[in-house]
Parts: sequence; structure tokens; C-alpha cells
Amino acid sequence: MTATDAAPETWVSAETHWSITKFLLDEAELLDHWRYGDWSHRITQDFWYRVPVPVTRDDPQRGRHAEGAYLVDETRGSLEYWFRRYDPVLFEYAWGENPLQRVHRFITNIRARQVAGSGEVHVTANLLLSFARQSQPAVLISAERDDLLVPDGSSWLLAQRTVLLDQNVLDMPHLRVIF
Amino acid sequence: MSPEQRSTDVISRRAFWAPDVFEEELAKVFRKSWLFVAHESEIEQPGDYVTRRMANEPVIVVRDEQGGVRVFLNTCPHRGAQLCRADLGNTSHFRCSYHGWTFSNKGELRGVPELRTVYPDDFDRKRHGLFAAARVSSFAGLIFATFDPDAPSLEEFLGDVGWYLQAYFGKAPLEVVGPPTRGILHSNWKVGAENYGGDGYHVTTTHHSPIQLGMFGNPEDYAKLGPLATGHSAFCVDAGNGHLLRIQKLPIEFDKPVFLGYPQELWGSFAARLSDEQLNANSGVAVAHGNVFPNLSFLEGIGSAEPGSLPVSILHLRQWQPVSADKTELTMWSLVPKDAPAAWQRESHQALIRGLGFGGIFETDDFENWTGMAETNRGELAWQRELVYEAVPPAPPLDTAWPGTVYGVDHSEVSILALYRKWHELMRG
Repeated sequence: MTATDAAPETWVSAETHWSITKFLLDEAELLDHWRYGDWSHRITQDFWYRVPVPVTRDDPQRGRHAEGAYLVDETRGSLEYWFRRYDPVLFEYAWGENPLQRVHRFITNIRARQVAGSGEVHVTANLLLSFARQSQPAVLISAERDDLLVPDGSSWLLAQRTVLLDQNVLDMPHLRVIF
Repeated sequence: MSPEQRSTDVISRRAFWAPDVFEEELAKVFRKSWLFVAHESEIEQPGDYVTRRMANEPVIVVRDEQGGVRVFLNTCPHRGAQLCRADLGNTSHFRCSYHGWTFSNKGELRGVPELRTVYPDDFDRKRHGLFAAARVSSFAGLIFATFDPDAPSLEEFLGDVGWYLQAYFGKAPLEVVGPPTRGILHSNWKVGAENYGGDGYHVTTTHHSPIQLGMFGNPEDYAKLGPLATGHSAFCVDAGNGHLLRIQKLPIEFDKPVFLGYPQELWGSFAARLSDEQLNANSGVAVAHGNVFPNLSFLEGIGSAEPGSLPVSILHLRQWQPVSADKTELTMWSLVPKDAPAAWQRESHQALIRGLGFGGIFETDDFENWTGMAETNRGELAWQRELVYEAVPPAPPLDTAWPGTVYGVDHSEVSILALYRKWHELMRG
């Protein structure tokens, strides 16, 4: 399913849109502050996270991202390896993340559409991520984020996240981030 | 170690970080070597093409209508406009977007708009074909090209490393998992090439965290697989011509060849394609990695996709494309046997990118070191101090049927020195 497949009438109500916006902003705050422990309570047991390989094709009918080939392809289980790197015992040797980079996510153009026949919501958003390592200038990377949210009491859980990057030669090669 | 066994080679930091050295090596190393351009499975059908770089210049790699592979500079002979603007595709002809000159995928100039009215009668289209690589050749599914008309054959250039490439990349028909991933590494290309070629020494410190996380097996697990081996289980290989490898086998005695991590139903077909000695080099491998001079690295190994999952084999190619002294475009491929089940192929790709992809745990740690080296070697003060490559094995090479010079050591700088001796030979001219 892509955003353009959804008809305008499937947009969620203003109330639901606000609830989803709160969820996304809260989640981004946790990620910006590297609070993976808290963030892990906002994803489903069968959560997956994928960043497909961007590709420039000569055929405009085909997508601008590869199918079945990924820069990042993680599940809740495999993300354990990410989260545990921040354990105090291990963090001393987590060279890739120590010292921690300064990272911020800017989320705009939130489109929340009801998935027919379920309480799930398909949320697409534009994302700009700034990533600053040591004294180097911040790298800005833009993407479209494609999420599936499932209801969880009065809030939501993130069940799937696909990130479509605009750059196809990354100048932020440290992709160990949840966009 | 006695003084006479010590290496007398010194390697200057200028070799890595000085812009004039970089320009010189594009001419003397890259424009004089065979360079990897694509895997056969990326361009299987006539007209299939990919765009790549050779010596930092854009090229088109295309399979022509007769099935041959051609490599052209991606520039129109007329005004130098970019001919091909996609990463990959299929076409019988390339048409320039500037004035419409059209070329067959064999590189011949076919169409010139308004030819009769714009150009004189004796305009010779044959003189204006695409700028083609001097030679293109393929080995174990790996396509190489060179712009040097005096280059030796690819087989001669590869020499002994060909035997190892055959063992790792020739044991099954392989295919790439999608287009390669590409990113900018802010470091020198040789830093990556020497690391992938033969640096086992950095693993304990740089990759301390994945070791602690249990992403490698531990000795107790090995003991469950079989009796522990008595002989050498780790090797550094100087394969000649600047090519090098490091092979680490599981320290276990197996009573028959094993390809742990691959689907067992494929083991027989792998073995059938290899000689006994190649089988010996490939069986029970924990990790084997190397560098084909100058900038193609490869790795076969077993990795774990997530906590608690069984190790799965990964097969990897990566190319360190030189952009400037401190900038490299890293291109990375994931390869799988065509005959492996789709679910296995997917798991292998996952294990590879979770370890060695741009978000992989090994890669992010390696990149910190390599990026930091570029930061701290900016000028003449740092360049005054030579680097340290003195770790040569105290024991002579092994007497083995494996080709090249094989040392029974895991952590050594001996094969890395061989890479730089070849580099120096070319730079000296």
C-alpha cells in the first residue's frame, strides 16, 4: 500500500489525528534522547523496521527504492543487539555510539489514514533527521516514513516502519538509528 | 623475534592523506589495474546495464546484444554530456540528452540528428564511438575491466588469489540481493582495503562489543560441534600482486567437508565444484576475507541475525571507490546461492547487513576508527611520524598446497605489507 492508493475519505478524525500526532512526537523525543528502553514499550512484539535501498532507475514505472534489498532490516528481536549496546558495561566499547551523537528528528506532513476493516492506521510522514558527530557539521538526511500503528488502549503501538531515504549515496553512513 | 626477522619497511602517513599522492595513485594504481565493475548476476540479460566508477570516473557496464560485457566511460564523445543517468536498467541504445547522439550497447555511434545538414559529407561516425575500456573479463562471476591496453590478462593479474576467489565465489551460481548499497566513508580507500585484506588484530578491541553481545560463538559452543582441531585454524595469506586474505576456520575437526551456515542440501553441489584443496580452504570457515588489489574486498563468514538464532552464512563484496585522499564511496553487495531457498536468502542478507551494512554493528565501530584517522592526519606535523607495520610472524610460512605464501597466524601485518609493496612498486613506476 502506498500513500497515493488511499482515498481522501479514509483520513482519520481530527481527534484520532491528534492522538497519533502525540504518539509520534513522544516516540521521536525518546529516540532523540537515545531512550531505547522506553521506546521499546511503544512497538509491537512482531514489529519490523526496514530501510530499502534507494535506486535511480531508467524506468519511471518502477519504484525509486529496491524491493527485497535493504540498508537496514530489523525486528524487535534483532534490535536487542542495538539496545544492549547502551548497557553501562558495554557502552565503553560501543565506539559507534560513544560519544553519543546529537540527533534530532523533524516530523511534518503527517497523513493518517484508516486501514479498511481494522482499527489500524497507516501513517505517512516526512522526516528530516539531523545527525551531529563530535565537532563535525550536522548531516541532514530527508526521508518519507511509512508506519503502521495499531491501537493500544488510549494510545498506539508501532507495528511496522519503512523509511524511504532520498539520498542514494549516503553521506551519513552511520545508519544505526531508528528514523 | 630476532632483529634480522624484523620488517624494514616503513609506510608514510603521506601515502594515505596527502592530496598529491592521491592524484598520483589514480594514475599509477587505478588506471593501470584491473578494477571490479559488477557481478555477472547484475547484468544477466542483453541490454542490462549498471553505472559504476573506475578510478573515480563514471562508467557504464552493459551486456551487449551478443551477450558480451562492455565497459564505457559514461560520457558522450560529442560534448562530454552524461550519457546514462540511472543506476541500472536495460537498453539496446544510449541516447545523449544534449544533442541526441545515439550509441548501440556495443559503443558504436549509430544516430546523429540532422547528420546530412549539420556535418560535412565526410563526417565519419566510426571515429566517434564511446570511450571503451581496453579490456573486460570475468572470473568466478566477478567482472573486471581495465583502461590499460598493456595490462596482463585478468587471470595473470589475479594470480594466486584467483584460486581463493574460485573457492568462495565459484562454489555455486550466485546472485546479488538487489542493487548495492552506497555511502560516503570519510577516510582513505586504503584504510578499508588493508583492514578487509588482513587485519585480524583490530577485532578484539574495535569489535569488543559484538563479541561481548555473543554475536560470535564461544569455545564451549564449538566443543559441542566436534573435537577441537590440533593444527592451525587461522591463516594470513600473501597471495602475490598485492592480493591478500585472512582465513579463520572453526577450531574443530570435521570428518567431512562442511559449509556450516549454508543449507545442507547445497553442500554436495558446492563440493563438486571445488578441488580437494579448495574444499579444505572453504570447509568449516568461520570467516575468510581478503582484498583483491587495489580496492575490491570480500568476505565469507557466518553471522547471527538476532539473539538466539542459528548462525547463517554471509557472502559479501565491497569496493572502496577513491573519491579524494580522505573520501571514499563504499559500494557493498550481498550475494547468495541462486539455488538456496528464498527464506534462507533473506536471512543471510539480514545477517550480513546487521553486521556489515551501513547500520551494522561492526561497520559503525570500524567507521569511527577510519573517520577519526582522516580527522587526525590532516597535515605535515602528523605526517612526520611513520606508521607502524612491524608485526611479521616469527615462524616461516607453512608448507601447504594452498597457493600464495600462507602464514599460520591470525594477527599479523605481514600480508598488509605485501599490499603496500605492490602499491609502492606501481607508484615508483
